[in-house]
Amino acid sequence: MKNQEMIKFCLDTLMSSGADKAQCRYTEAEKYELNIDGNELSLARTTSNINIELSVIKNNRLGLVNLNKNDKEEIKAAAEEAVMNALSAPEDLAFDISPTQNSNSFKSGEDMPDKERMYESLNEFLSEAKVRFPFLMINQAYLSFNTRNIYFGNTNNTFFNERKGYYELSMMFLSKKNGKASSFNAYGYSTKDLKKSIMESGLVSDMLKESEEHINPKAYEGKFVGEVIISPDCFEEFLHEITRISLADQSIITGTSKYKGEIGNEIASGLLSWSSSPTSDEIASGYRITSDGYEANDIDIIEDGVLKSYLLTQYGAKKTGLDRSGSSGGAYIIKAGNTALAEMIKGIKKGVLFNRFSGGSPSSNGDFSGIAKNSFYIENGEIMYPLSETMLAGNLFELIKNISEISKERVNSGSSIVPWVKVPGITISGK
Amino acid sequence: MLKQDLSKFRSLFSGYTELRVQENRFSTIQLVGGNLVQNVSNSSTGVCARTYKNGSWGFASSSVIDDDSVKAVINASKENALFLDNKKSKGQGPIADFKLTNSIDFTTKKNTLSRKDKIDYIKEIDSYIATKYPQLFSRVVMAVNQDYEKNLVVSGGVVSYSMIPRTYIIISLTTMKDGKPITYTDYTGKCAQFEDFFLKANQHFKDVDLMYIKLMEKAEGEYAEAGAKTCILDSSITGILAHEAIGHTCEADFIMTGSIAADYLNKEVGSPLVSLVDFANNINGETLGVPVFVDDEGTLAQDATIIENGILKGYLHNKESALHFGVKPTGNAKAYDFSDEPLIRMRNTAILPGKSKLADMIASVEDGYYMTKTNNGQADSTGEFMFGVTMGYRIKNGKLGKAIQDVTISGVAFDLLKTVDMVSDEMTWNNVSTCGKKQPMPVGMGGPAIKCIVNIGGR
Repeated sequence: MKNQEMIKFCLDTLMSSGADKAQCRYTEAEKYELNIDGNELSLARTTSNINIELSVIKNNRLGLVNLNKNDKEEIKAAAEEAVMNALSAPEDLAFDISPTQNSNSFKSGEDMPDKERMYESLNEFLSEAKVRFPFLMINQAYLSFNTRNIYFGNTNNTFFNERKGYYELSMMFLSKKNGKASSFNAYGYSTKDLKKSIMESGLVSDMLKESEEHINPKAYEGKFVGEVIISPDCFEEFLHEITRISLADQSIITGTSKYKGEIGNEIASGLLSWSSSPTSDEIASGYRITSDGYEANDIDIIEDGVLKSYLLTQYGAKKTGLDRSGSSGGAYIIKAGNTALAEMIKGIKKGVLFNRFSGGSPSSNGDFSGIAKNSFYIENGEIMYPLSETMLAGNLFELIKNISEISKERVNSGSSIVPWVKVPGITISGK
Repeated sequence: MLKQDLSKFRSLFSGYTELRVQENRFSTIQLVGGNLVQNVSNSSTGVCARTYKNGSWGFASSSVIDDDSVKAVINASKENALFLDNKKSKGQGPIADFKLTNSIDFTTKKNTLSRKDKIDYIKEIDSYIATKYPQLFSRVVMAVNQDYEKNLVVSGGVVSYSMIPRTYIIISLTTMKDGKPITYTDYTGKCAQFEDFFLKANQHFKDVDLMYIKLMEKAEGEYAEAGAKTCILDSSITGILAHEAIGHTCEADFIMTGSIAADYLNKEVGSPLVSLVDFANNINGETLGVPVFVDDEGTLAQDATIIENGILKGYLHNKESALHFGVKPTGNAKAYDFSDEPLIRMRNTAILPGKSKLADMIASVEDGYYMTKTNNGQADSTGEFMFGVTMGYRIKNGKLGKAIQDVTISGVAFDLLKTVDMVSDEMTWNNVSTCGKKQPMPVGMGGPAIKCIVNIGGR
């Protein structure tokens, strides 16, 4: 079946199985990938997969089934199962499908992988890394080309199609010299093409350099409360945690969100402006269709420190009586600041350049503590030494309130554009 | 194709080849505050092939399973291997290619419960919480079923079928204290389908009552002091230590790419009280939470001793690393989905029990903590680890004191193991965890309680 027909077939089957309302998302995914293991190219891979997500509302009850077969008989069986799932579920008036919207098609990125260019890119990268970073060991890395062809439809006659192609690089690495090893570190980015070399992309060369510097780390002796410069990678991770515990459906519905009732209020430093921009051309792996079946919009979450929006789906909005956000989250862009990173470092009396957080998920009250990995101790404006066994503790909500500087420089990882961020008042404890 | 003999496709193989048809079936039911927020069934079915050529690998997979698709996947895997080998041949020798037949099936023999029956079961637990503890700020009850069904043939003559399920339940209770939410979470899981594990909803009620008591203790808890402290780590934390901080550093792929444990083979890495094993599928005849009988390369699974009486004895291997080290593989190669290649994975990893009583261990601590629950953890090539601890108690002069708020503990695994001076005589298993090494993989982890020194990241 062609894909548009597939959607119609699924919807018709769901309705004839007894649904009151139905929704279907059909995705074709193809991947070509080259893997590195232990500094050597090791594996070439081609995969293809489909996913069909069937959603049913019956008597205000929700049933969901996912399958990866497009055989008609399998779809019929799955449709019946979805309806049975709905009938078994409790009633909730907040369950619904998205309303009628203008149909739309979206396309971004290339259609096919450039396999030879992919091989060359990795080979060039390995050769250059061997010369510039002789003690580097790449545990694993992969460069993949991914295509996603997504068809969405519901029984309110809304139909969307999104086709995207993008490259993704992910790597895990460490450095070892004279029997001593650094911490491992990991980095990844996505991009629409391979015009830029791997070494020039994102934070790749910075992180490889820092990896070698980390072969002989020292634990900080003692404990102090100091200033921390949070790297873009690390800050993005914190943004996802803030989303989980205070902006997404569950936190608002249950009332555990710190930001309940705070729309329009100042909840962060006036320096912070944070958007979710899934349709931005600058974001390689964005999306055009939200998880709740709407055309995606770019939205401001925080503007000049003021909370502008939660990240509520249609379900969360109906449940709480609040506005639905136009984005499903992710694709975060932070507005650049006014201070050069070098100046931010110079301004620190005693603190840490915090590159990777290794810690438990922050609790719903925002408290976090974890190890500062691949990080450096700063004293009197100078980076003194790489740190080991040093823990940082604080609170995420206080952290974004107390941001004192934001860097001019930002890093585009393909899934976000984030600067460095300086924050005081973090407890740093070593041995 | 999941239950058919795939041997007829062997004639298409070129050299060492694995052919696997796999179906993963997942079901999640989650109630949040009595609202059904997740009621979903997923299945993922497909076929894959992996071909080895002089040290390069080709892999291909497809979600379509018919004869033509299987042939196409085998050919694509051959082409991918050739692509790399033609670019630069590594000249590596052949890897082990066994011959064995195996079939293991944990499908329930009882009547399958309907979706409604399963939801009603979870609702009954939720109702018990809501009725008995109406003052709670929020509650979450979640039940997950995972079935992993695999049909494997390998060029040397392996024919292996397995259906390995996992079922678990997670309950979270939240109260408010001074405007801040405090949460306590507990879980239990088993290698079984729903029908063979969840018999009556009221079997969970006493666990819920105990959870509420602990939640109230935690609400009155204090922040732990930062710094190095003597701690009793209960089995939940010992298990994650065994997996994260020691197990990962001993996986041969990390050994070959810089793990600190590469320098420690046959050396002392812990006190003589410490022994650590990655179990394949059973202890004393009792099936473990994540059993492996034949791995996804067709290797018969056996227990792998990592540490024995404080000495590092061995690593965890796949066929390629076993060739490199000149040892036999022990069945640690597993793939998560049909579109994944097998990687070196842990199975059921545990520190072995000792001889001390937990009460004596607590009584021996002048100033420290008894840590009982964790929510996650990470570890490093250097052996440095961190775990989130979500429940624990102060110990002062050998007695348990106030509970503590969420905290993170850290250390260097092989340094910590050398400080172990007591190991309890009982052990329990955590069968609900997932290891995130490239592919999400169910893992079992367990252990007794141990007394040691760890760093605490308090305020």
